[in-house]
Amino acid sequence: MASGARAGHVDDVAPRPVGRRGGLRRAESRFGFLLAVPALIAFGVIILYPLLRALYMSLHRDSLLVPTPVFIGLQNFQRIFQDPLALRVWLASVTFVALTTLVAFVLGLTWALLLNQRFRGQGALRALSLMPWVLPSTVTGFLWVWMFNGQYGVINAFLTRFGILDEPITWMATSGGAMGAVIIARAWTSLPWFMALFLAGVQTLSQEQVEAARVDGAGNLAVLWHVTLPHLSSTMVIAIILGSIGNLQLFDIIYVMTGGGPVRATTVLSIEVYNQAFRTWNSGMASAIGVLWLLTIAVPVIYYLRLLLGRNVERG
Amino acid sequence: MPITRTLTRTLTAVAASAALLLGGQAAAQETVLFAGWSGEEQASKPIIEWMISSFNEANPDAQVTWLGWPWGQTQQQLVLRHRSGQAPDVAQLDMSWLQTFAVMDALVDLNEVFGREFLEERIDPGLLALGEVDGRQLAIPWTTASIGMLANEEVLRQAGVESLPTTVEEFEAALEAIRANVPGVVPYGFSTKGNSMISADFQAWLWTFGGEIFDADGNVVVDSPATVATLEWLSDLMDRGLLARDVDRFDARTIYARHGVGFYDDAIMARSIARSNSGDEDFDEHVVALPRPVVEVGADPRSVAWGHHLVLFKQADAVTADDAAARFLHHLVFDDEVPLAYFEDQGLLPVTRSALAAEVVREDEYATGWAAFTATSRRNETVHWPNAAQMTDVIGEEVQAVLLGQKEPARAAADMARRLGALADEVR
Repeated sequence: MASGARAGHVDDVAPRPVGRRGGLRRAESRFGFLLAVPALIAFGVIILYPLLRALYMSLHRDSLLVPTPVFIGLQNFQRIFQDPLALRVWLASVTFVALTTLVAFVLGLTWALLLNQRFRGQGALRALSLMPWVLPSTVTGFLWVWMFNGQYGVINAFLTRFGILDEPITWMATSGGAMGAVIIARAWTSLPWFMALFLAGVQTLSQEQVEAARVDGAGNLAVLWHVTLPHLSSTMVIAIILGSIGNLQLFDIIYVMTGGGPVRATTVLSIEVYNQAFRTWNSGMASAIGVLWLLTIAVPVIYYLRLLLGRNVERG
Repeated sequence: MPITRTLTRTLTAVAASAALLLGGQAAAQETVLFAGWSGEEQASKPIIEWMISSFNEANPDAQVTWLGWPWGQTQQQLVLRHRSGQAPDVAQLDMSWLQTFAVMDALVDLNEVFGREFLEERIDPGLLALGEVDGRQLAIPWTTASIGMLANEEVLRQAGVESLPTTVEEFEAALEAIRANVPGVVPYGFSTKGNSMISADFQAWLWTFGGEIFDADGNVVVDSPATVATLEWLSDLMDRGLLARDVDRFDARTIYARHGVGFYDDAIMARSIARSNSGDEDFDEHVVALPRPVVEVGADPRSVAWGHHLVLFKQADAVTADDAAARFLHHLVFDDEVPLAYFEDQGLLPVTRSALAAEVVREDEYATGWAAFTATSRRNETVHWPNAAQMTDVIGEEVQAVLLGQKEPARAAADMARRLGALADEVR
């Protein structure tokens, strides 16, 4: 009875502390929301409004020269899908993103494994390795376009001096050469980022695990294959996703090096949006391509977010 | 409390004085923003600065300031500034951009500012026509000439070419001589990259071979035997190693100044650019301007008209001849001392009758020779179209596809016609 009474009493009074806790939570929630308001405003002004505006403009015939947009529904998208050049742009984008990410990934991983070894000057080499990341991307673009120049480029000079080439190659004048050049330039700039990511990952690898593998008779390659790479697997996935997103957004290096040429061979989505908006002044079409570009980027972004949320749930 | 009151009074007095001072200064000095690209380029920056400072000194009631970008960004920046209500007062335009700003209704009709009679009295109507759109004088030519041909005298001497080629046949022979006798030199620096440069260089040869892109009614006529012949000829030059891949006007200028190219196409200021790029004050003796070779002896040499315009952007209030912006434009074009100094420094031909008649211009063989073949130049065929940039890209891409061996000339001519026709239909 007593306990029941106590229980009844507890039942009677139970809502009060709960209510107080709920009130506190609501207050905390309100305070948290208030703290987030500036960020939300910034998000709305800087991201959400331009995004909605781009969606709106993609449904209009709109030009920077004539300030009277005309609603045309999905005609801009229809024109894109009917234009064979649009498919070339999309394929060029996919080629650039896939190859650049792959090259930077392999080189970044290799470099990280090398820099993880102890040797004299390791610190200096690590610092020097960040150099491509520090350089402004337009400077990088100009450096590489000069090096690849068919008339006076250092790459031709080097290859011809050592007898590898009989005569200079005009790298930037062929579709494959130009695409190769921009891929190399971009991979070079993003190599430090990949390297830093993998170096951080490999440094968390337990030495005991490596030593245990060696006791079991594993050689260097076996340790790499069975211990190091599995340990880095989640870092690799993140590196590939974020690297792909970054490469899909790239504009400056390609624009400086090729302007999208020759014959549109390096015209990726970012270059096409720029050309539509600022060469032909067709902001409606530029917005429509931008929307498709956003959808293309959304694929790795969604995958990344799912990965991130999945991890948070596991931790929670 | 009294301290607060005193402080308030003092601050109010300071603010009022500042307002009066600034207001007075604003009323006394009219500001003019002059935009373009020449003031950004190393070779022409000092003379542009002198033009501005000489005006400011002579006009204490006005203050001109410069706003510049590289040539490739200037059109875009001017469009964006106009759209955002921040257009400059006076601007330098490339001749090929005029239609874009005319479509935007961004420019002042200069007939209304200076008067038609005044303009025609000072500038030949043929030159004035370059700045006209639908009967409105939207621009005044600042300098005008054409994209002509240049030869490097030193390279020709080494190649054993004794006289300048006048026919296409002689031109090919000269290119072959350069290739055979001067190793490492590009015989002809025809633009093989950069759509705007390819398009201009191609059009000059297309006209030479008797073709054109549009007829007088604006119909696309580029799918013609003349176009195919032009493309086949260029493709043949490329196959024979007489042209170089991956070369644009800027590359050609650089290697020309190092005696690395025999012939190339450029505007009249090529001489001052070569002088600047070579670092040799005496480089002028190697610079030879020549009329473009022709197919049949006696035919007119063809070149693409080229020039810089000056314009006044529309502002909230109508511009009159007394406004500082109009006076500054007058200073740049009509005060002979200024265009003649520009000519002496940069080799850019003036446009007024009086400046053209000046001794310093008449005695310059390079300039007078250039002016002679400019007489048979034509305007770039795309400039009349509001979507000229897209058309330029189409022409550039199709020519480049032939030069890179990606397309047969006949196919490229047909594709060029189809794509240009679609663009023309969009704006008809």
